[in-house]
Formats: sequence, structure tokens, C-alpha cells
Amino acid sequence: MPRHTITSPHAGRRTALARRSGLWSALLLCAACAAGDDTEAGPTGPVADDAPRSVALGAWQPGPAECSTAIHDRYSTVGPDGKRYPTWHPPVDPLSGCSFGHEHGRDPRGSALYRDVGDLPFGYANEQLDAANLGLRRHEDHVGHKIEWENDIRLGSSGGAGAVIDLRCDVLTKLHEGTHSKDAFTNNLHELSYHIRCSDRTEMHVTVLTAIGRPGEFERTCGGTVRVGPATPVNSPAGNGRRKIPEWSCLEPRVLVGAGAKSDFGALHESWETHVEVRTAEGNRTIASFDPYFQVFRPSRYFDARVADGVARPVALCTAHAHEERQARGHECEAVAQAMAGLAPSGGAFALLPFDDPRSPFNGVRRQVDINGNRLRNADGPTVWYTDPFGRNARPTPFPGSIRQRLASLNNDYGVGLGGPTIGGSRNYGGPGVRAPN
Amino acid sequence: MSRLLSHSKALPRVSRPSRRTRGRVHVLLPRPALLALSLLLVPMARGAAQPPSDSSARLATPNAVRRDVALLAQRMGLWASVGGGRGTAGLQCDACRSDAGPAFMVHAAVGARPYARFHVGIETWAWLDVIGNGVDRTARGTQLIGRFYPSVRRAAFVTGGVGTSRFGVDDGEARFSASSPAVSLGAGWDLPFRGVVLSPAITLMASSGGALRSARTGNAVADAARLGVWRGTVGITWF
Repeated sequence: MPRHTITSPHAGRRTALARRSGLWSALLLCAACAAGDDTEAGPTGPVADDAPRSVALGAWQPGPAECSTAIHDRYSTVGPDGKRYPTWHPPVDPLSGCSFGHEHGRDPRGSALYRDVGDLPFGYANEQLDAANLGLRRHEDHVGHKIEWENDIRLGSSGGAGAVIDLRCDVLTKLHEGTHSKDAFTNNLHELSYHIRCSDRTEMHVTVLTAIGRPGEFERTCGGTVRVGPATPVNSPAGNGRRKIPEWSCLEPRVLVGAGAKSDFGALHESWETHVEVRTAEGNRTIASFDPYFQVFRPSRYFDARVADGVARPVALCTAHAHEERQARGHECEAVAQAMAGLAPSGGAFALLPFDDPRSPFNGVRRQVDINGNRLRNADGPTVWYTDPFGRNARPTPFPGSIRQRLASLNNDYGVGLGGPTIGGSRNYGGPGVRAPN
Repeated sequence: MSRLLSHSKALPRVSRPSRRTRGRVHVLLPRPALLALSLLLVPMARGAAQPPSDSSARLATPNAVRRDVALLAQRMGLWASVGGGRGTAGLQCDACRSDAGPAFMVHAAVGARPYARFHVGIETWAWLDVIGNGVDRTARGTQLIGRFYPSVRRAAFVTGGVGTSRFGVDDGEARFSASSPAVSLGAGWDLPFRGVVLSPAITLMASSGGALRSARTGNAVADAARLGVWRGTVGITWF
């Protein structure tokens, strides 16, 4: 078994530099291979064994025929608190060839911000909430951490501002967006890392547990609020933004269609619309805010109040109404039918395709992020602030449970709204073995 | 040869201006400015030309003022010019871009001729992209200019200047502008035409270093905006 090197953000930077060195690095790599050096430099891999394990590092358990936790834990990094955290990895381990069964989005090593940001420690803000002693505890599953980034995007506006302002930005972000379980029906606290650097000197590197909407409820994609039950933790603070999740009454008229029509599976779409503020302890002043929207297409769940826990599976829509006039039709259901054709009969009837089968098209591997406003009111402030895990109580000095945030000393309010593009919409992060829960 | 050249050659001599010339000077200079100029320049010029005498009493009459100012204008080589044409203006910086597009260009200048082949003056100009699409883009500037005639026998000239420029965008709600030092370089040709001189010219103006700011908030989008202006104009010059 090849041995992974100890990896840290610093090692990741070395890798990025090596990749840029082109031919020479390739030659060196070949020379290393020939010499039997099985070292794989990369942004991920094992870190010092003596680093304490974070809660997040043990949050994933493999399914049958998937990579072991030992292999999975090699893709880890050390957080600012010295603990070891899971981080990005490809869907398939390139060394062993085994599949992890889930993915984390786009490989951050290609981001122009990676040299500065390094590997993203998944679950760091959740861990800091434990240390902050606020009477709240919130840890999220592993598979929900999704990275997206884009280099050199354009932020613009219309009218006069659009005629002269031409901002170029690099953005790298990660949100925990669990779209396979009941978690987000009630829980509004989700870890968000947001990094952006623009040509007008706007720069933000923020990690928070962002409160997306109110706890205990979500918004239906077709409008209206659904009250579900108590959140975890029960005293979760409310926040701006909203979690728009498909619900049966929204889906039914669009998905169940008559003969000759095709289901609109575009209605099976989640939109997590965040609004994050970094606020000072003194004066409760907002020094930074941003509001990216994270969207997931064809997730593996929707809400149906008639089902236990409210978790219903879209894959079942392709078969549940097969004998009715109005039924789910279209490419997605054809894929499900093809997969089912290979299943053995069960008790005289064909088994339903499990929701977590890798052949199900409902796995949430297609996503996009809308880059919206990025506001800084930190002209006279320091570039390093320490906040609680919610981005509040920002101070220039660290305190228990605080997270180090970096903000440019800048006021970028130009009196106009500047929005960015949608990124990631053309990508499909699926891979061999990738399945729900993802 | 052109009227310009004949003027240039005649500069050292003090000749009585024609009736037409006096009229043009009167038209170009507003009456208060005319009086101020005469008060400033006439005694100085006379002091240099001849000893003081009781002829200063002629200042009291408008005709005498006109005649003296015209005389001094001829001697000092005052000139004035207005012009118009087309031009492009483009702004660039790390966070801004306004593509150069054609629009109307106007300019006006006044100055003097200290030497036969060299004119100096002060010029103001404006590029006005204000028609259509609801967004006005303007560039304007003021600069000290010099115009040099490489040959007294030819009407071609080169011109250059230093000054300031300002580029602005305004859609009624959002307003942004950048001001910065500017330099210009151009070339043209003098064509005598019915008592005036027509001067077609092409000029490049460039500026750098100004911050592009929001007028609403005063915050700078970028610190070092670069403005480039091309203009092709025809000026009407009175000597």
C-alpha cells in the first residue's frame, strides 16, 4: 500500500507550486516513481498522528465495499486549533481504487485562493461551538460538506455602475448542505467557509456556523413555511436567509404527469440562501456580510408529512405510481427503470431501487452557488478578527471557542448592489460509487 | 502663405491692427475681461515701449481701449480657439473598465505667442457620451498646452499639454468619477479660412493615478485608474 505523506496546508502549497512547475515536476515525479518512492504529495492525507482528533473525523462510516475509515481519515488536515479534521478528497481513492461513496465537490487545489487558504477543515466551526461554552452543541455529518470555487469571476451591476465597475474575484466556499436526511428540515445551523478576493481589494476569509432561516422549520420551494419540530440544538439562534426544500404538495403536480408528458424534476431542487454577518462585540456593528445561495439539484430526499420523519425518496416516485394514469416520467425514471431491470425479483415482484443505490439519479451531485453581495465595513479595523462560531462578538484578540476571521481593512460600499455569477452549475460531481447519502 | 505665417513673421513689428481684427478681439473677450486686461497690460506695454506721458488719458475712451488691447494682442500674440469633433475615452483599472467609444468632443483654449513658432495657452476640453442608454459618460479636463511649429514655412504643428482630467459615469443614481493628472500629445495643421485659421488635429490624452470613487459614498473602487482619450477635432483659431 503506498504511503501518504503527512499533509498540511503548507504541504498543499508545495503541491500547488509543484503542479505549476509543469514538465520539471512531472519529470521529478516520474523519477520518484522509478526510485520506488511511493510518496504522494497532495493537499490531503494523514497529518501528524499526535494531533488530537476532532469530532468530525469520526463522523463517516463506510458502506459495503467502500473505502475503510482508515483510508478516509488520511484525507485530513490540522485545523487552527491543532486538531485533525477531515477535508476534501476525490470520490475514489486514487491509490487503492476504492470508492468513498460520496463526494465533496470541486477539488480546492485549483482555486487561486488555495495557496492562501489551504485545506478546509470540515467541522471546525462545529468543534469551536463546543469550546465556546454557549450551551449549544451541533455536529454535522461528513458527506454534506460541499466545496465550490471559481477563479476570476466578474461581479457587476447594471446602469451606471455596470458601465464602469468591473470587479474580478476569486471565490472558494464550502457549505455543509445535507440534502439526504431529515437534518435540514429542522436544523438551521450549518458550517460555512467563505473566501473571496477581488480586484477592488475586497478580501474576506470567514468560517462560521451560519443560521439559515429559523430553527424547527423550512420553506417549501413553492412557497410557505413548514413547521416540523424542535431543532438540534433546541436553542439554535434564528438567522437570515432560508432553506428552501421540496415538499410533496409542491412536487406532486409537477412530477406526476399524464401520458406523453415529462415530469419536471427541476422542482426537485433545494436552495439554501444564506446571509452571513460578522458583527463586533463592541457596538454590535456589522463589519462584513455576504449572502451566497447554495443550490442542489435532484437531491435524494424531499419532505412528505405523511412519511415517518418526513423523509421521502424521489427514487420511489418512479415506481410508486407506475400503475396510475398520472405518474413520474422522464429520463430520471428511465434510469431508475434500467437499474431496476438488473435487480432480482423479490417475493414475486421486482424490488424497488434503494435510494442509496449508486445508479439512482437522485444523489445531489449537481449543485451551484450564486455569488451575491460581498460587503465590507472595516475601513478602520484590523485585518484579523476573532468571532464566536456564529460570526458575532468580533474582537481583535482570541477567546475560548473563537474563530479567526480575516477581513480586508476596507469599506467597499459604493452605493450600488454588486452581484456575481452562478458558479458550478455546469459541473457534475458524481463518480464511481457515489450515492446517497451524499 | 497663410495668414498665420504672415502674422508670425510680422510679430516683431508693431503694426496697426485692421478694423476687422479689432472687432474679433472685442467679440472674443468679454467686456470686463477686456477692461481688466487693458488695465493690466497697457501700462506695462507702454512702459516698455515708451516713457509715460499724458497719452494715458486715452484709456478713458472705449475706442482707445480697444485699439490698445488690439495692439497689445498683436504684439503679445494673443490667440483663442474653439473646436469640436469626435473622440473616444476609455477607463481602465483593476476593478473598472469603461470601453472606449466614439462620442462628441469639444474644446476651447486661449493663449499667447511668446515666439513665432511656439504658442502657449490653457485649454479645456470635454468628451460627452450622453446620448442614449440612460448612462452618461463624460471625460473632461483642463491643461496648459504648448503648440510648436517645426517650420515657419509650414502650417503643421505638434502640440502637447499637462493638466488634469476627470472621467465620470452617471445614470441618475449611481455616480462614479476618477480625477488624475493628464498629459497630451497631438499634431495638426493650420488652414487659413476667411480671416480665421482652421486647425484639424489629432490628440491623444492619457492620465493615470486617480482613484475611481463613488460619489454617493466616497469610497474608492480602485486607486489607480487610467484614462485614455483620442480626439479628432477641428478648431477655429483667432490670432
